[in-house]
Amino acid sequence: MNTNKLSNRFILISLPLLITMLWTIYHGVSIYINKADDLQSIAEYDQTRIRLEVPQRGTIFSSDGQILAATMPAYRVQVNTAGLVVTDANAIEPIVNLLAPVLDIPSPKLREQLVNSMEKKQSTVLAAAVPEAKLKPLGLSTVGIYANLTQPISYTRRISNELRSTQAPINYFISISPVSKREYPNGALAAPVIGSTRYSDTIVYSEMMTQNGKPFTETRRAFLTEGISGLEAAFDHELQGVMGVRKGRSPLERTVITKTVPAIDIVSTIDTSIQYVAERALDQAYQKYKLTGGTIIVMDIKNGDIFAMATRTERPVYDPNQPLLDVIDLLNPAITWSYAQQPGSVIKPIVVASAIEHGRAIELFDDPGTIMVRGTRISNYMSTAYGKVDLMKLFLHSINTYAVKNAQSLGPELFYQQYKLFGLNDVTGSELVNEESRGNRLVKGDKEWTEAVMASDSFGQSMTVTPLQMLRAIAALGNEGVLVQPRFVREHIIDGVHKIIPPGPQHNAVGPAAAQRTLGLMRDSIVEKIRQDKMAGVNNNIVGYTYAGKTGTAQWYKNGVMQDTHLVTFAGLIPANEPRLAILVKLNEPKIKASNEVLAGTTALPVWRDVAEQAVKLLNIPPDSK
Amino acid sequence: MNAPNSRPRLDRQTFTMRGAPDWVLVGVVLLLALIGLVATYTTTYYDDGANSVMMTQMISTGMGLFLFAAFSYFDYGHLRRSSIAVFFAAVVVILLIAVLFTGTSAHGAIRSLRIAKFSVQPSEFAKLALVIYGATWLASRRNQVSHFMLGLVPYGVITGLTAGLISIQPDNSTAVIVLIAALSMFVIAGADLMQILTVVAIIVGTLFLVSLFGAGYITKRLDEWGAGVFDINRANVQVRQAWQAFADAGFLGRGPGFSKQKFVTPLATLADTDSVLPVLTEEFGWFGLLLLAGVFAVLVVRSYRIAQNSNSYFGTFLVVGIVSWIVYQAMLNLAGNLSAIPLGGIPVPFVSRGGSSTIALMTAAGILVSVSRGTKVQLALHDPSETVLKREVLRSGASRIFRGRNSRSRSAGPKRDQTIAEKISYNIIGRDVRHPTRGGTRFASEQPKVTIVNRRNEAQDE
Repeated sequence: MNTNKLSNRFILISLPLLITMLWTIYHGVSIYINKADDLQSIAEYDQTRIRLEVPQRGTIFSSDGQILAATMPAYRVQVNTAGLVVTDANAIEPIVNLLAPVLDIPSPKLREQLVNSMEKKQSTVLAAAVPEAKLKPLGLSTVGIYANLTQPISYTRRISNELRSTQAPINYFISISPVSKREYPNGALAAPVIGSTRYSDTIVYSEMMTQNGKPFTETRRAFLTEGISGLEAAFDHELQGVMGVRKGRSPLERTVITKTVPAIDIVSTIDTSIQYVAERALDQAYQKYKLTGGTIIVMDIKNGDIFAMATRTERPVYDPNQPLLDVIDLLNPAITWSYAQQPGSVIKPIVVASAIEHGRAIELFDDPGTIMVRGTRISNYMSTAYGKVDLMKLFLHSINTYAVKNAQSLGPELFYQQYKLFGLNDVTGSELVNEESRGNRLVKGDKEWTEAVMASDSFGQSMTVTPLQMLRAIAALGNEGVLVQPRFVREHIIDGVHKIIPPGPQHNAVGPAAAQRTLGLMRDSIVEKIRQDKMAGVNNNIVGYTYAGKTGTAQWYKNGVMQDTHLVTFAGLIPANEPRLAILVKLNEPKIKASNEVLAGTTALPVWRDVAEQAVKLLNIPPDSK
Repeated sequence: MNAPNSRPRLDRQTFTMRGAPDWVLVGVVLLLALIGLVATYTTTYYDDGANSVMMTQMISTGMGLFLFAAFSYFDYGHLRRSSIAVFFAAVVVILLIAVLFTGTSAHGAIRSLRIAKFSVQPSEFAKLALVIYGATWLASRRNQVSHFMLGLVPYGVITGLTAGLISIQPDNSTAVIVLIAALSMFVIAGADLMQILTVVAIIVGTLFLVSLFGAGYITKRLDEWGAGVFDINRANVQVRQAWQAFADAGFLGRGPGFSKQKFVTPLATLADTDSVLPVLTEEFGWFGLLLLAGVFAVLVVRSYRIAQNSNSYFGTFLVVGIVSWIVYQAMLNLAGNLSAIPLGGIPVPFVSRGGSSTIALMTAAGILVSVSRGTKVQLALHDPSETVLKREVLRSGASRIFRGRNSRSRSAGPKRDQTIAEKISYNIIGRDVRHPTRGGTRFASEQPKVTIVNRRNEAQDE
């Protein structure tokens, strides 16, 4: 073998390489010359990406700094059957064993769901939002479970490489994608106020595009959390922020189409301690009186901050962490018409204050027990005739006839004008959604209106208010006649900066003098009542504090039919000398052994007293009496 | 002192006749390792778990560099111990079989084994094992190579079995690379033209049969290629996307890290492996691709030179096998990505991400460098009177002798004022190192003074 021959052999083994190289160069250059423009335009379409940036939903804090609602990282687990290759039911057994405890679905049910989606080739969402903490121990973070590989594999480039090497289409049997889960750490506490959310998978972006001259609509879907009730719905816009849209040919150079605005955290006026006190008091009353519902509201009379709003209905308490079973659970009984009832005698301070305001109050009255108004017989409770009484006695004994006389003295025009000024005909203007108002069913000018209607309106019959409307009107009496707007949110937190929300619009319902006088009458009547109760062996005194208030007992109407049961209310202000809090307790259909003893003074007042006593201590309100 | 005409006493002496490595080759390999890390980084940094991917690749490259240094340092002649080669080959074959049986799945096969936390691709090591074993076989039976039954058939069976095992994984592209490397060694070892034509006919026929009756995805790929050659829009989506990257690249590219096409699926899943060249071209331009081709060209030229100058047949065959493997794999990848040939799933040597591939290739590169340094030989001085020479050899050391050779250009012949040591070296090389290129012709006029008695198998060659 000579030198030349070996060189020849090197050439021989290099020759195919050279031929391949030349062919590749020729082929490459020819395609580049002929097709480069086409390829570049296809590349532009292929590379263009529309990215959505959904801000994390804001947190709702209580006024004492507790988290009422927060969004936590979670994962949506769903069966992905597109191009599914496994049809053997045994192959899903490891997946069933793996997922059943994580998703809290019984194994047989999960197996059935998987088999169903396999047979129907349908994608099924197994769990909308599984908390991160549950998936983490399994090593499933952002994940796919591939049917052929029985062990879970984290979804990174690694999985695609492994799948690529199997020559199988890239798809995941179970896909696990990040979503966010709305969590309510306090469960059902203040749930109707805080509200709840739902997950919606909606088209959030669409754009007209063209490819090969054909126009089509490019759409993007997003899995969003949206508020459906309570503060979640009322402040949905703030809590959601603004979803950003970026578009571009690579992640490195995306132009902003819509700028992302981070969500705003809100600080609610709800104080979890007082809320807890109110809910506990309501629960105890529930047990004691076998109620069918009830409401307790604690409000700051100066600016309308709602410290607590506890509500109960016939239905079990709804925990927003659980799935919603009935939309009726979304209603807040304290503000919605569906739950509004006749207020009863609680309205009387409004009538008296209005009469005083206009100088038409009847200071002394000889009560006959029963009077006739336009053929309608109006009598006191048990038709008792109280004889000569003054305004303080009107409150103490809740004298219907006396209230009617005051209303008649005021006259229909002023009477209904005052009702309107006290906000009984309008929504309160609190931020909560679904708030309703009906107020007086008939007013002067309506065809069916008679003076008898006004007469019954004057002691809270034949009209309907929500508990929040009623409390707001009573609160005005403690606030020098100024009617405030109740509110549930007092601060926004934007990028960590607290922005205090100013109170809503206010107006005078009555003048300060009339309000002060009425407040004094209510306080005196309560002082007298406490004295009488003490003699009867019942302690309604709050040590160190005076309070003013009015009871109300009304017939319970169900679907417009009067029932044997009652609705008892106590609305009051504390401390009476310098009022700070307005508190309302409303109990639906309390049942005690002797049904004729169902009076607000014996049912609602003790509950009110408990709540008020703890609320003033929790808020460090200084005592006003010895 | 012996009397004249008496039989000379053979004074055997073993020398470490090893010179300096080919530093250009070392530089090329280190540059390719660096390019590989850059390519891995630029194609993964934006991914979930990019850090762990990069760390894995850096560990692999580190292990590869260690093996590169070790194999450069040690005498490749040790590899000739057939027991080692066979053992290595056997382990790989067992691994291959293990893959076939443990990695069974309904669709396609799994090409990697999971050992502890690492995924190992036996087929990468199979290429190395086959080259080593093939070189050993050819060096030992050099005079049988042109014989049909004693040369072609057994050699064909060995390579065919290995390629067949890889092929049924299925990994036909790697099998083709194995066949090309084996055939290159066979051609260099002295196969005659008819044998070469026969083998080429067999390979082409097999490919034809596979394309007709083989697995569906092969025919599909071939069909797509056939369509894509004439109309790029009908080509495989992966090819079309690779082409989009090439078409968008321009001469200088978008700049490091700024490829857009690497984010587009399905190319995105291959950006760090099979489709690394389109992405690198998009970032560094056609100019960058030409530079990379230049680096491979330097590798080829240096390797062929090492093969020609090697002081053993074994070394020549090793170098030819290894360089064919590397350069053909790189060329086929580029051709596949440009749709000049049907696309196969092969990575670009040194550039694509992949632990097994990097480690196997760095080991192979170490063997290349080791061959460039020569192998250990045994000298036997015929004439004890030439103690001066002996002393000179001992004093200057074989390494110096060989360093003199290796650092000189090919055309340089013996000079008038050459040192005694150089004379010896030329004599050694000229007569007895049994190099095909130096079959004694050049220095036949010079009286041999030193005979190399090679260790073990080299003696059987004559």
